[in-house]
Amino acid sequence: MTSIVYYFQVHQPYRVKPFPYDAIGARSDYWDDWLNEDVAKRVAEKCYLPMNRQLLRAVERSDGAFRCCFSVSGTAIRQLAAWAPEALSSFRDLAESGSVEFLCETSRHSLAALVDPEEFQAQVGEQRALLKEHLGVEPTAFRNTELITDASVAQQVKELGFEVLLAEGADQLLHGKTAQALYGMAGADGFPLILRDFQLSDDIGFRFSNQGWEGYPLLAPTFNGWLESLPDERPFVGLFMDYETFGEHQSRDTGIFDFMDTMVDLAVGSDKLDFATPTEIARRDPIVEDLHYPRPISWADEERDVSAWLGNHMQRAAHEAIYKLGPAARASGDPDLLNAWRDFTTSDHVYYMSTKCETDGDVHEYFSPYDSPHDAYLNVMNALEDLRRRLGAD
Amino acid sequence: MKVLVLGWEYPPAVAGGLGAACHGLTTALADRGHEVTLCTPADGAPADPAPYPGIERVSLGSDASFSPFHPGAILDPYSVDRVAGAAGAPAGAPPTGSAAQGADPKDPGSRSSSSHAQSARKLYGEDLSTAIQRYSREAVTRLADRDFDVVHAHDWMTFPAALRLRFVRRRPVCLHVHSTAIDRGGASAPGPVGSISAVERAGLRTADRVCAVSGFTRDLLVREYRLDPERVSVVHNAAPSGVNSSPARVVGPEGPSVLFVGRLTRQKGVGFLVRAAARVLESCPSARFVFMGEGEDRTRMIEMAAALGIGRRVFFTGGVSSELRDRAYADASVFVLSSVSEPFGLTPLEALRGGAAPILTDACGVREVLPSAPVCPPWDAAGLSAEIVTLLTDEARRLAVVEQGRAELARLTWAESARHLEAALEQARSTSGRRSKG
Repeated sequence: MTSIVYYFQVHQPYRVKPFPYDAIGARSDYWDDWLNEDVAKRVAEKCYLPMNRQLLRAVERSDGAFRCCFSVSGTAIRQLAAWAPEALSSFRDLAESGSVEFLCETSRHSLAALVDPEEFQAQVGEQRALLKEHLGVEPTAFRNTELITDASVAQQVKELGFEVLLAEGADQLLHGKTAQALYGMAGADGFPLILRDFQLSDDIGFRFSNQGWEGYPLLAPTFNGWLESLPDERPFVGLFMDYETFGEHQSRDTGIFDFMDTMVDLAVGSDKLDFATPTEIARRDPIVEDLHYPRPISWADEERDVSAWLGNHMQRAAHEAIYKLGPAARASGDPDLLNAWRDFTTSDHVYYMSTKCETDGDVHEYFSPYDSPHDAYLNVMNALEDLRRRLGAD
Repeated sequence: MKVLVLGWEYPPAVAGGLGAACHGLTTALADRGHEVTLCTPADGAPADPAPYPGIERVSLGSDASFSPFHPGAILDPYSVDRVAGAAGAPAGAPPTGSAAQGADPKDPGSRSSSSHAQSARKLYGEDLSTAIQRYSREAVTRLADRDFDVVHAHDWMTFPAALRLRFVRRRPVCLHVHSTAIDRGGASAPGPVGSISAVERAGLRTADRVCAVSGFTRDLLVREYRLDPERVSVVHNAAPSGVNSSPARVVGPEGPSVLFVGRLTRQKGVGFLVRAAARVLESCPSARFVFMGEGEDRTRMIEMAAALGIGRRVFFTGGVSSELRDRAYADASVFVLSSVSEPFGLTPLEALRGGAAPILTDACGVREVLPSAPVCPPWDAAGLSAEIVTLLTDEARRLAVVEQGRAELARLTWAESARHLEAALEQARSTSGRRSKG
């Protein structure tokens, strides 16, 4: 029996308004609320609401046998609360079903774990409060932003009282070993790691509607056949993807909704497959061995490292400029300034500055509201300069 | 003297450019009592918001001039804008003809910047060679029977027309060089810089007299085009209009600002200023560097600043309105003209008006009229950063540079420039026909 561990990531950043040089010191409305509201409402309409409905029906239809987990970033929770409250309450319905686990992450979908442990801890605390307030849950499993993981991240997560960490099953980490087993983190007392099977995950998340792919069109019996043919000793398979895959990245007319519905029903009826959540796996399965992380590993781009966010000079300059303001923001005693600064820590801002080309560049461009990485960089640096002056920081 | 002026851009469509210089020189010549006829491409004169007494305007290349209904093309009111009358005529008197269309004649400022950009595109865009051919052809057909003593032509676009008139009418020609293809290609561009360079070289070697916008440009013409220095007069530009109103500024809590204004190109030496900025910020960490302008080096410069670890202190504003530019001048402590090859360079004069202390490279013409300004060689990032640090840390010195610069600025008038130009035109007349090529 192999357990399917579905994890869906829900995230929306607060995108920055055009902030030209002469706006520095002249205005301090950093966020493009018109755009943010527009995107939040559109994605709620096309993805969150219909897919949540479908998954809740699957839980009910299967008497709770269908199980999955979500992570909803704090910036997404706040935007849904403001602009699409019905979508937020549909997440709450899933939480109350008892079959859906909600993971914790940083409240701002930030890179704080890499550079600012104090801020990381603060944002985890914020996220716990948001999850409690809006979804009524107390998380026990953790995923760091974009699955960025290494021993230091695992150690911080462990110290904050979580039981398990989700991570990428990258080749450079596994060296040919399977991702379909519970590992421990070397250097963090073997803290449990549930890895993503990137092949099977990306079949749904990226390749599903790609007509040039040899597996196209992907049908549920085919996909479940692949899962059923996994060796018996594999305890679980991690299928991790952006939740916006359903209805947003892959539009409804690709058949992605029907695929998922059928896939779930077939798996529930299969004697070789079932579903489980990360905390259930961590409590059930033994750790097979410890993994050594040579560097932080993420689920992004071909490199599976942090180069999607910190790959070029502009990204590193902006990243440094953001975290340099942290101490002043936290010491300011002004909740508005601190909140504004924290929303700049959202990793999307530096992601938009990526200058990678070819396949991954297309992905970056798909997500970016800017004309070019350089425009993204200048815009954020201008806004940060304004914030710096308001904070009275160096 | 009856002077036939061949210009390309009038009224000024591009700030700090050829149009401004042409305007300043031509009006000052008229003020000195000369009869001036100013010819510009029809496309370049969408309106004349401030018609000037004593200057007759001729638009060359307008479709109307070919109309069979206007056989006397030169007298065609739709293409000739004669502003007769006394100096006391109201500046806003509606000029006759099509030239007035599209603008409120009482408020030159009402022209939108986009219409400036449009006319600039027309003037310097892809139609340029066609426009030059048409301009040259019509200059001969429409001006050959006019009465004039000398032709004064501004920059290479008008040189072919001037030389044709010289041949047809046997009148002396004075060619005025505001910039060369060699400047625009960067000092180290290999070999001759294409056909524009050839037009410049041929024209300048034939002309009866040459005016250069600076000694720097004269030396370049002598060196690159093998002109006899005796044939070249230097006629500096004057200061842009306006008054020295801004007091020298006090540095605010946001730190002192070091300003660059211009195109982000190799010619302007931007990379060398970015490298200097990194050195300056080591000793003046609160300084800001502001780069105003667009250009093909933009992305490279942004990345360079980020790579040098000074991204937080370096700002790229892109193209900005003249109002924002003036504000930046007033806000700046130091202004840097980092050009590798700059025939003149008007921006330091604008910066002085705003109260910023200019630093120049020694490869620019403007240093000849601002002898007190600090100077360093182009590409010398260490030398430039030392000059910037001095001005940022020694306020008395900085104020002295501003004060001396403003005194030098006050002496720069178009009337003075026109006096030198007049002498050059006289020399053109006296040498005409007596000189062999070379």
